[in-house]
Amino acid sequence: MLRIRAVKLEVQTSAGEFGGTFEFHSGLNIIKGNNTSGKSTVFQAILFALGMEEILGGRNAGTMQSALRDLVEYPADTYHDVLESRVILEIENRNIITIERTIKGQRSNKLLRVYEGPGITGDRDIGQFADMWVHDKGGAKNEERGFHRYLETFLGWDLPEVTSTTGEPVKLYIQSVFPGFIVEQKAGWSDFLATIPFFAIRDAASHALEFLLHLDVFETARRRQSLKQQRESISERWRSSLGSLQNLGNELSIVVNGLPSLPEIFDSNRPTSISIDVEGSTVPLTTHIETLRKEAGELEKIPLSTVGQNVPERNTEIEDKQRLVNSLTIEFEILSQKISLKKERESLYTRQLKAVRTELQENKDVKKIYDLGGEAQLSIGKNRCPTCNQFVEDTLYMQEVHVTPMNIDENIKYVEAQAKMITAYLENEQKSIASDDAQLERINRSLIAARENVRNIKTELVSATQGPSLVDFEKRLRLRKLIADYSKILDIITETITKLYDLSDEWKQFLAAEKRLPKGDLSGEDAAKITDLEDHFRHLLNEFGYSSKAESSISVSKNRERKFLLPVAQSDNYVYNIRFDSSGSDLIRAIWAYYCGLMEVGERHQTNHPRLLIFDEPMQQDVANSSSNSFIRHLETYKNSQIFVFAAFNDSPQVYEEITRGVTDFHLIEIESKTIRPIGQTQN
Amino acid sequence: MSSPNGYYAVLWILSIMMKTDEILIKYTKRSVPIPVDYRPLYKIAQILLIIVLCGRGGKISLLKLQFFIWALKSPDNRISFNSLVSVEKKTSIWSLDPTVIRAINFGIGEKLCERKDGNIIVTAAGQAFVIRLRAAQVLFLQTLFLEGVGKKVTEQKIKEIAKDWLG
Repeated sequence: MLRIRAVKLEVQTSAGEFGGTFEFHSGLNIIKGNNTSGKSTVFQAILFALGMEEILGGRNAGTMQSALRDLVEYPADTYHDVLESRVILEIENRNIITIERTIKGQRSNKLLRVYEGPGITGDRDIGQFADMWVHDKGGAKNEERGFHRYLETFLGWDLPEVTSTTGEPVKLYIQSVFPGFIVEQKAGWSDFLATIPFFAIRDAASHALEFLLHLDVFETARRRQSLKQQRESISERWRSSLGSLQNLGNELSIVVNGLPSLPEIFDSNRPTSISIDVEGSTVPLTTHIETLRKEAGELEKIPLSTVGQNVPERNTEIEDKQRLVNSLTIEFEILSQKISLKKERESLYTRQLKAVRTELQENKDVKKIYDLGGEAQLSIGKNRCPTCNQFVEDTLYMQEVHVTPMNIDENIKYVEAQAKMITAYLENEQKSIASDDAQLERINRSLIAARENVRNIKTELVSATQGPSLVDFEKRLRLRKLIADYSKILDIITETITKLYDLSDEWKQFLAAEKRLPKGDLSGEDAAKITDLEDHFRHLLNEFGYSSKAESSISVSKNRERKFLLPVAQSDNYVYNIRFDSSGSDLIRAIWAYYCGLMEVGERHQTNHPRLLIFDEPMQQDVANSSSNSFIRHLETYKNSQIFVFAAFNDSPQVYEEITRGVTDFHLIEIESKTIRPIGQTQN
Repeated sequence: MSSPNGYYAVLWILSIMMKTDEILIKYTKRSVPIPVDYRPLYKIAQILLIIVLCGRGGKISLLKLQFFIWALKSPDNRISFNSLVSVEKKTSIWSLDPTVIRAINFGIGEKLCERKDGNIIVTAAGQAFVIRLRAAQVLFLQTLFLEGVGKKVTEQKIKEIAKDWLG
């Protein structure tokens, strides 16, 4: 909430102290005075004291009337120099504060001095004060000593981050929000939220309205983005876990089954199996390790044999092993050659794909050229001879060649299909090569082991007969190593599966969070608020006498891309601001209706609206007095808010009477002649 | 069996085999993809770009045009082009493209260019079309190449290069 309790103008002149004090109430306040009375001065001073003078189109003291800066005229035609001047404002939300800002004087007019307590209506100097700054390029704008930051906190607001026109995140400026409930006289009546100062924010008006209505859209967009990142993170980690298992499979013929390739809900209830390919058949890895252990156990029971004992065995063994080495070598050669051929095919496909892609690009260029030809109204692209207008095919072939050429779009599709086909062949070939490479690796390993075996046997055959059998020893060692390796791998795999269980839990949470997200950009509550705004708006358009269009053809835009939250009408597919269809006076009525509607949404929903409306000269464009009367009557009904109407009423008592007919509950401040008069004279 | 006679022969044999005088065959003539080079407007676009970027005063001789068309056919040709026009003349072979004449005729019909005294001249409409082409950045690499060569290769130079093998 923001209540303006009182404002005071203090002007030191060469002829003594001048000024004026004005107190305001809840509900409707009408400040009536003719155009030279200085009621605009009061309006501007209020904005100035809040650091909002940018709404008037400028910054700092330059925006204030000359009566506060240069010359005071009092009485008429008598002028006095202004030596010093300042404005004091008393406002209220949860507590009351008083703000003092110098217009002319020693103190910089970028400084606002804030006191606790009612410094105008109550006792001055009762509390602490703090000095704060506005428009300070040194960065204090949004930090501790920035006044706007202070004001934001005072109002209980938390301004969101929006995107600047350069794409960077920036906090929504509080000066962008104030035109949502304050309409300034000169430019404010030309459009909805016309006087938002330029801060390089995209769609500033829509953002200001989003904030005033306290929509969830920001929050929703943020959540959606964070969920997207979460999804990617989980998928990435899932993929890399699976990837590491894949490598194991390629190298050691170990296969893990039952793991989903994409994140899913996955727990120990889902069956998984870890198996290994041993000489052609698939056995569970645990079983294989057991088998090996048993083998090792049996071996351990037998004492290490000696060379002498094993000689006959070794001889046959060496023959067998040598045969194995030979056959593995042949296998290796054959497979290597196969792979070479495949690699040649692969590079052929790669070259072809490159050529087809170039052709595709060229064809797309042709399409562009033909489109340009169409724009330039050439006949060739339309299969017509430019001179004789006869049908002519779209080729440069000799007339004797009978072909029906494809048109460009067909040609492009054709080439795209070719590219797809070649890509498929290429990928196939690459997959095949990868698997062959893995196989080659396995053969190589077996070959190395077999060769080593042969070497060992040969060594043994030439060593002392009493010595321990190297081959036997080697066998036991190898077995032990295998068991250790496989056990370790089993552990790694089990760990990975556990990791997947964890990831699956994360995934479950992600899915739940995703479900909670509203389907579109707008949550249910958002949609309700916008509908509310629309209903109030339409009702008030009617009440205030709007007639340029039927209310039913006017809506509040629910499209985040197009004039979001602003009053629009629709024609075909084009959504546009209703000011283009409204007469001058009807636009005024529409602005009244919209600003009131905005505040009324707060009656049934939670919004950030300060329940304050300030209208500076709302009777514009010769709007009918009867409409103005409806407007004022309606404003009277806002007992729990604060409304300001600054108006001259055409300097006519009759007009004033007509417009305020039937309105009794309001606070009137009449400014007879000059606002600024010697201190001591009272205002009513 | 690509000539009409072949089809009739088949139909005749079929009519005898099926003991009938009338045979109804439904035949879909398939359309074929065309190399980009054989699209009239593509070639015209190339021709116009060459005249504007490399021809003196908006006109060009047929011979010089053919030379440039050949150069644009592939990156390899462009390399050969550069070696042909540079001081150390290496003998590369370049060729004439018969479809260029047809394309020029189309271009004349569309009032994008004119023929005069053995030269091809670009018209105002042709100039306007070239502006569209360059704004849309079609034939990007080719345009870059042509811009790089500019007006440096003169008609005189072309006659010299051609003398080598046209005699």
